[in-house]
This record gives sequence, structure tokens and C-alpha cells, in this order.
Amino acid sequence: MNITDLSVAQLSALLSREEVSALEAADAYLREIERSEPRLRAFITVTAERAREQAREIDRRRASGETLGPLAGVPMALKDNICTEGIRTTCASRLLRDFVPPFSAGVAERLERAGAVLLGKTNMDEFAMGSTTQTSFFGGTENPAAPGYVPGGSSGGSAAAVAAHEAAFALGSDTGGSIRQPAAFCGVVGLKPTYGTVTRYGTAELASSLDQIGPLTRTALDCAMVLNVLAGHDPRDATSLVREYPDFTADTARGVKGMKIALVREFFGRPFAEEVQRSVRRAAEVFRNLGAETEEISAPVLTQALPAYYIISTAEASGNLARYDGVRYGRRADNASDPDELMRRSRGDGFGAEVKRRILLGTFVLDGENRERYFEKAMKVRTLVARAFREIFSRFDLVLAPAAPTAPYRIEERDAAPETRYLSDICAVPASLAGIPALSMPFGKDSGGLPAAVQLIAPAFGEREIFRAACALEREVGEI
Amino acid sequence: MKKDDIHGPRLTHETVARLAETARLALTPEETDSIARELSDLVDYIDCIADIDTCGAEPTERVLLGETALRDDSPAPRTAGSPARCGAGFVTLPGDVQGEGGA
Repeated sequence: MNITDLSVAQLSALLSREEVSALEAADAYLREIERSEPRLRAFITVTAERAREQAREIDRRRASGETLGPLAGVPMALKDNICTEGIRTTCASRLLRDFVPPFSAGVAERLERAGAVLLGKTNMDEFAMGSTTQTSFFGGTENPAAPGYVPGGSSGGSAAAVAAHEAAFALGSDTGGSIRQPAAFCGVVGLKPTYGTVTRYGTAELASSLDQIGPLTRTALDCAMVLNVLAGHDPRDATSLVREYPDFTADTARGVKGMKIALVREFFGRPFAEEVQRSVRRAAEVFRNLGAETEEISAPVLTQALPAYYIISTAEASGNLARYDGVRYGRRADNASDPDELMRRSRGDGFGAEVKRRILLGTFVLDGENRERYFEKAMKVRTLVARAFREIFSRFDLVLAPAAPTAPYRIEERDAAPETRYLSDICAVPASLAGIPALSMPFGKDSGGLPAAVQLIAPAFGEREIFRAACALEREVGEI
Repeated sequence: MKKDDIHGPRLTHETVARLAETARLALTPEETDSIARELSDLVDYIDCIADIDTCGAEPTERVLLGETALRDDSPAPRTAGSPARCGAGFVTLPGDVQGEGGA
């Protein structure tokens, strides 16, 4: 038995029966990291000794008869924009290359309390701005499922670590697809939960009205297990909802008989690759064979929403990133003659090209009359997107859609014009703008042998329905 | 043919320099030029938002899907650990940028 080949659910069962120790599990994953990292660069920081200490503590508690939760002793990784007390948290930026947070993020605390063992911090696009994980100050991540190809982004390190069996699961953050698109490119499962379900306290903000943290796993059941630990109110995050959450694994074996699933016509045709369209149609056929009803509908605003996403996200980012001023956090420029120069040069030297581009686009869309022309308009488009989903979900349980418009592309193609790169978020941003949950999951390989994927979108708090359908589809197409 | 092939970038060097000043971002002249070209293309792209009919739609700043709660208005202990570069609640700047009267 190879420990790193086990799903979270399988490993959890062995750990609870003490057939595998937490230390054995941590060591197995650390060996895998040592073997794969020189090539993949999925991690920015590996916390090997801390992981072993944490694992020994879990083993000690279990040996003393303490009842532990299902994630106790399960090795995992956190995206490097999630603050971890005493462990550097860089956001993959030169500006924060040596920043060690004085406190941990809410999700890091929840996982620590659940006994999950932290292996390290994963690579990402700088400040989560990108869809390739090639804008990292520490160098780009390679796709383990397609060597020579991008892993997607911005949570590409987390997706690659899970796909390469360097971690049993990982957390990412999703503003406009940053969990779901890399999950699709690397052949793993990735969930963006309902906005407000998972605390964002202590996670570096990109666009506050959109950001949400979620799990990346190798199976849909694992994803539900991790969400069980993450979901819940946190008074330190003003957007965190006061709500009781169900057991997200409860319906995973139920099947899809009787479910109503919508396919949105506008997700077929250009710019969606033919193979991507075929995957969605084949998945619909599988659902029909399992007893679900599918119907094609029209909702044009869903594919028109991408500019609205880029306007809102860059506008919010330009404000959120104002805190990186060379005074309170991170890198500080030398020999500045006054505070203003200190700020301008610290930011100019510290941020990479993509971050500068987005800060300036955000500044532009908020500048004078542009605010009404772009920002106010984009917020109205968000209203239309939310309305379109409400209309769809008055008749359907789920939407089945592509997870990304194309298969992964080669690393050397990463420098396409920004507007072309931004197109890769087109499938993901509608759910982000509406704040509703969406999951990307593997669906075999395309004719070129690259990972294929589909996306399931549900109304707010519909995660259980998503997991119900995802597990049914997974049983048909096989786990990775 | 792109607009900037005929008329130059829509966002000029001067416009980007002004935006960079607003955003407190030092750029080299070369960076300013290349960002002006890239932002011009991006602005051409986001301009298509004007084609969407939003009549009757109120702007949505943030999708609120349930009840949120404010913290009690009462004193709480400070976050454990000391915030970066803070001592006794103060942020310290290097001496040469503190200006007259700086410590």
C-alpha cells in the first residue's frame, strides 16, 4: 500500500483504526515532496519538521484514547496567501518574500484544530492574480498531469500538489475561478463554496466581494469532508454568514435520479474548444443514463459577464493592495527621502508586472467619470447575472458547464496578450459574481491525453446537491 | 487593425503616469509605455460592457446570501503576537523618512 495514493476518506479510516500513524502519513508525503519538487515547484515553503511534530502530537493524542475528527493526521497544504503564524506567507510576491505573519487565518486555525497536518505553503500567481501560476516571484509551477503545461491558477500550486500526491488535500482561494480552473487543468476536484460560508479572516484579500476559500482534493467525497471542517461562522470576518451547515457528505451516495440539470447554450460554440464542449455533452449523457433530466436553456448574460468581473475585481484589488506600502508589511525600499517616495518605490520594486497592470486597471475604472461608465455598470451586470441564476434555479437543481474554455496550454504560451489570458476565466466568473457554489471535477482525458473537466453550479448553499451529482459522475468515470 | 496602430495607445504615457501616481506605484518610463499599450487593449476589451442592457438593474456591490453579524461593541484583547514592525501599538519608519521631529 502506498499511503500517498489513498484518498482523504481512505487515509482517515486507516488513521482512525491506527493501521497507519500520522507520522507515517506525514513522512510518506514529505518523501513525495522531496522527489517531485525540484521539477514541479508546487510549494514555496515546506514545513517538514513542524509537520512531523504535529503528526507525533496527533499520534500521542490518539494513543491516549482521545476521539479525533476525520481529518486528524491527514497531511495537507495551504495556498501561500493564507496566513500561518510563524510560517512565512509570501503571496508569491517579492514584496512579501520574508513576511512572517503574527497570526493564523481562520481556515488554518480550523484545520489545525481538526488535526490536519500542515506540510507547507503552495505556489500561486502573485497576489492570486493570474491563471497560470507562472507569475510567482519564486518561479512557475509545472502541471504534474501534463508535463510542460501550465497547472492553471492562481491556486496552481495547490492543484499540482494534490494531483502529484504531494498532499492529501490543499486549500486554495477563488476570486474568479482560481480554485476551479487549476483543478480542471491538473485533473483534481476544486470547490468554490457559497460566498460567506468559509471564513476569509487572515487571508490576503484580492477582491473582497468575490474571494472565497475552498478545498482541492482527489475525490468529490474528500472535498465534502474538508468543507465540513471549513464551513462555519467567524465573527472576525464581516462577510461570514451566521448559519448552521449540514453534513456535506450526507447525500454523496444518493445518486442523481430525479435531479434537473440545465446546460447553458451560450457555453457551446466559440470561444469554447470543441473537446471541452464534447466533455460537457458526454457528462450530460452520463447524468441522463443515471436518471437525471437535462435541458438546454439560454442565458446570454453568463458569457457576457467576464468584463464585469475584471472591472470589479481590479477595482477592489487596487484598494486592497494599498495596504502594501513598505511601512507596515514586507519589503521596504532603501534610501527613500520621504514617506511618499518610500511608498511608491517599495510598491514599484515589490510588485510584479501583472499586479501592477491590475492595480492600474482598477485605478482607471474608478477614476473620475470612469467610475459610472465601468464600475457602476459592472455592478449592474452582476445584478443581471444573479437574476439569471435565480431564474435558472427556479426550475433546475444544477447547471452543468465547462470548467475552462480550453484544455491546459504549454508553459511557453503563458505570455499571450492579457485579454486572451483573461478569457480563461469565462466559465468560472458567473458563479463568482453571483456568490453561488461551483465545483470543477475531472472528466477523463481529451484526445490529446490532457485532463478534461466539467463544472457543476448550484444555488446558494447547494453544495450538498453538487456533491451528490459529483460523486455519482465520479463513480461512473472513475476516480483518479 | 488595432486602434493604437493608427492613433497610438488609447491610454497615453501621461495618463498611465497619472494613474501610477494615484496608486503610489513607481514605474520606469519603459514600464509606463508597455503598460499604456497593454491597458489600452484591456480597456478596448472591457468597453464591450456598454453593450449589455442594464436598464432597471440596481448595482450589486456584494451578494449577501444570509445573515451576517457585527461583533459586540466591547473591548477585546489584542491579537496574540506582535504585528509586523509594531511596537507598543506604533509603526516605526526608518529615521531618514520621518521628517523633522522624527525619532
